[in-house]
Amino acid sequence: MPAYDSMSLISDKQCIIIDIGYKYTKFGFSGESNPRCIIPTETISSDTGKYKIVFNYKDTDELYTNLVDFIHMLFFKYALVHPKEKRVVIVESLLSPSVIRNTLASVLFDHFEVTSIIFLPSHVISLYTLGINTGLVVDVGFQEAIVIPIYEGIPVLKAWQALPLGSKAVELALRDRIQNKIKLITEKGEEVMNSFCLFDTIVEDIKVKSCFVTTLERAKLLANGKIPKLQPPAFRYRIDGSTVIDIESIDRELPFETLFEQDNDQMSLSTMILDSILKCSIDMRKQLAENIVLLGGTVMTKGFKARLKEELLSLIKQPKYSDKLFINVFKFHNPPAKENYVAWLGGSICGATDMISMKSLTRDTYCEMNNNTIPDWCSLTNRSDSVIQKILQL
Amino acid sequence: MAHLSQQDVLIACSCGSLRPLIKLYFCRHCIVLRCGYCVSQEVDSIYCSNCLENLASSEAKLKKNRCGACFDCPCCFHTLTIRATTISRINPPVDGSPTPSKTSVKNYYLSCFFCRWTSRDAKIPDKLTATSSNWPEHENTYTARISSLIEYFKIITLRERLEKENRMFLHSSRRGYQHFSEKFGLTAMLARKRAGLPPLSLGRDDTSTLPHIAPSIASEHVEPLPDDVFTEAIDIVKLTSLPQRFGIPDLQPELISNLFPIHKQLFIKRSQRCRSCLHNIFKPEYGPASIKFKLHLAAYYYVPEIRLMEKIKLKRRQYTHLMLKISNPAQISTQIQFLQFEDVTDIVQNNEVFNFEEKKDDSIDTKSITNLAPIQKKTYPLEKSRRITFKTNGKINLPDVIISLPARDDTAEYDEANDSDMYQDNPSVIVWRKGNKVIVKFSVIPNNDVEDNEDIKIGFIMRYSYHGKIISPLEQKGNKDIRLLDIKIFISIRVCISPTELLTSGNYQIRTYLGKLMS
Repeated sequence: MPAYDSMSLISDKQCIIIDIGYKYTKFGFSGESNPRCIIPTETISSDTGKYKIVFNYKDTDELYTNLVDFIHMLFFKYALVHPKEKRVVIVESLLSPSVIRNTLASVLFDHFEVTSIIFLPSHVISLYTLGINTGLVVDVGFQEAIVIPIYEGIPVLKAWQALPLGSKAVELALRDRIQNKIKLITEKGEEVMNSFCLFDTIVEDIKVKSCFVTTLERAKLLANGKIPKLQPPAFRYRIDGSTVIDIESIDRELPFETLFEQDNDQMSLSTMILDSILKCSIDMRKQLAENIVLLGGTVMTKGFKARLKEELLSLIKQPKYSDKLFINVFKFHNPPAKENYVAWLGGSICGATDMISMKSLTRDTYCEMNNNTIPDWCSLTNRSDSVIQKILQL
Repeated sequence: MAHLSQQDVLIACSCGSLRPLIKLYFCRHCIVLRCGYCVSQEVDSIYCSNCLENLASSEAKLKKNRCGACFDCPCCFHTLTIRATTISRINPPVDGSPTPSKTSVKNYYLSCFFCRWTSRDAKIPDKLTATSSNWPEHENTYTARISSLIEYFKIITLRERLEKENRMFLHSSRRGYQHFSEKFGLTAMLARKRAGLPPLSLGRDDTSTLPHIAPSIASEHVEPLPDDVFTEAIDIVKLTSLPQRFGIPDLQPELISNLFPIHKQLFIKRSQRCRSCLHNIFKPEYGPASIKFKLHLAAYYYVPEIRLMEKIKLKRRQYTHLMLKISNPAQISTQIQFLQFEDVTDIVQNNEVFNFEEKKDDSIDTKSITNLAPIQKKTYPLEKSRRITFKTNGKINLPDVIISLPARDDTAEYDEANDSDMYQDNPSVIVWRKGNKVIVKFSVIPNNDVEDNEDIKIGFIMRYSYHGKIISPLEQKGNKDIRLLDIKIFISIRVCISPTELLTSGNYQIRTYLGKLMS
């Protein structure tokens, strides 16, 4: 173990960094260079003993219980520390609903009695991992893709873009393609078509193991119904001993096209980026285009970055953008981490600094607040007191 | 097990969660039910579940909560075992001996007995000793870069903090200039100069003290789609799944051959504490191998247990008999009474804790206060209790009797004598009695709007007498403190309503039941 790593351990002020995603949660301690675990955001309910997706809830009470169960598991199965007198860093998206952050704060303060919480915006702190303070941050997660430009450390909120283009959309497309291809092999060796409920985990596994983002050239051919000469090999996926799915070559290429196909409003992942740049003031644009940071598990797909760059370069020549945007270079950053935990790493870096003691919301302050609502990022209403200063001064 | 952990009879904990009796605790000091949700949990001891080594918390922290000696399989996450193989090696002929000598060497490698993964698959060389340490460790390649970033941001925030403090200092009421002359005055300057110290800087620090970090440089080059996806056949068994990748978060290898053994995650033993009085209510023994408890205030030692005796069939608009077996687990006899929710005024149906908080003060005697755990400096409001979400859709008729149950006596099991003579029981209510157990007859009717095949859910309150004092041999026997406790019971009868089938008469049921008992 390197010396500096143990240094931060001795200081005994390590705080807990949690980045709760819709699908996977990244969890670890501050100052460390990778999360301790990346686990599905699912929990076993302590009331019913059933498996539950945390963000699948009917009302706040259910979300509260889900979060209690989930964070209990994080503390006692992975962190192995007593939550009392611990400082917690929550890495969250700027667009995360207030009900989630309020409930999360309530769970951590009321149930787990932690000392303090700080909410950090994932887009901003991702830049900390790179040592830069201007960049166009593109987060493609499970549920949605969010683009927010950050200029000199300040998020340009008016230029945000979000679309439900994430792994969920890809998995839906893949599921549609393979749902009817399930075969059952009988004892005699015959293959019978079978209707079988495909679990999300199976679809995800097929996606992870075989799907990729194809090149723009091939995508154009495929969109016109033509079949390119070279085909990625088809293969047989075994669900169990007798159930198989034959994955055709086209099933490996097409699902990810959902991210790049323009919808009815002519929006896609690549137009989001350009639109976001367009909404920024003219002197920021070049700088943002040359500092694109990609986050989220979906961008780790094979060929994703290459395709995104191709798309951007081809779109910029189209009349929609060519007379407004005068950019011909797009540059991408390589964070010192895997893309799916970059935001967590930003939290880990922040958590190791004094920012935690300066700007966290403490339990005392939380209890003094009359309505137990965590102020929004951009809300400056009726909060001239220390609370807002503590939270907004980032 | 299904019978032991009856999910049919649920009890409302003081926090509002519904749990079966076996999952509840009983705080003897607050005299309320507690459950895993409303106690505060603490980490007692940290250990490895495989080698049962007990680690101090600081040591566990240093090892990142992982056992240094035991490994998990990166493929299926089972524990890896060390296997030995004998390899014969031919030594080159040493001068003097004419023939090459043969020696057999024992080599050790890690192997998974479940999925047959071995450390040889990961191309980890075999080891010559069986000790489980010294397997090659892997390190994050970016650690140096990240720690330099951390240093940089640490200094930035430190500076910001100092500035803020200075600002506060300026705004503070201390506006005099006396302290300035102390610090920056001529005498102080001279003193510094004489001592050979550098003069104090008067202005702001310049940025030259910031450590230099190289900001990341964006590049136009991105990883292209590898050409081999169009040519190479895909071999699904050689590719890793997401859980396998996330087992090694900083590498997330795509190929099975790039996986390497993962250090085993440590486990903990937890002790649990009541949140309002801070007494321990559950404490395991420290050693990882022990399964005993130092303290275990489970509710089934204190609260009479209610069990459904048999499955019944309910019919619309008709009362059906329901047999409940009640047993007293305590060492002291108790008296039980049943009440409808409406009868009890001090319990609010929803969203309210049992009203024991007021009684609490006199229930804790001064002796136990001295044994209290360190009292919190600051009191925070306790967590809000949960809403009870159990919706009843049937009505239960409760017998208007007070049932007295004797203390639990393990020898009474073997006593042939008939106890029922000792109690003047109403035979239409109390069907059977032996030792500390009794079977009581209730009648249930479903609501009219209940659909077929729907579980019938009923609820009532059991009020029983509890001896508040913890009886210790030192205390006087006469010092009795009896209080009545109300426990909310919720029963779901999983047998659906049969619209057609005729109801078997209640008396018949009792007779068959008694017949079963006799045989």
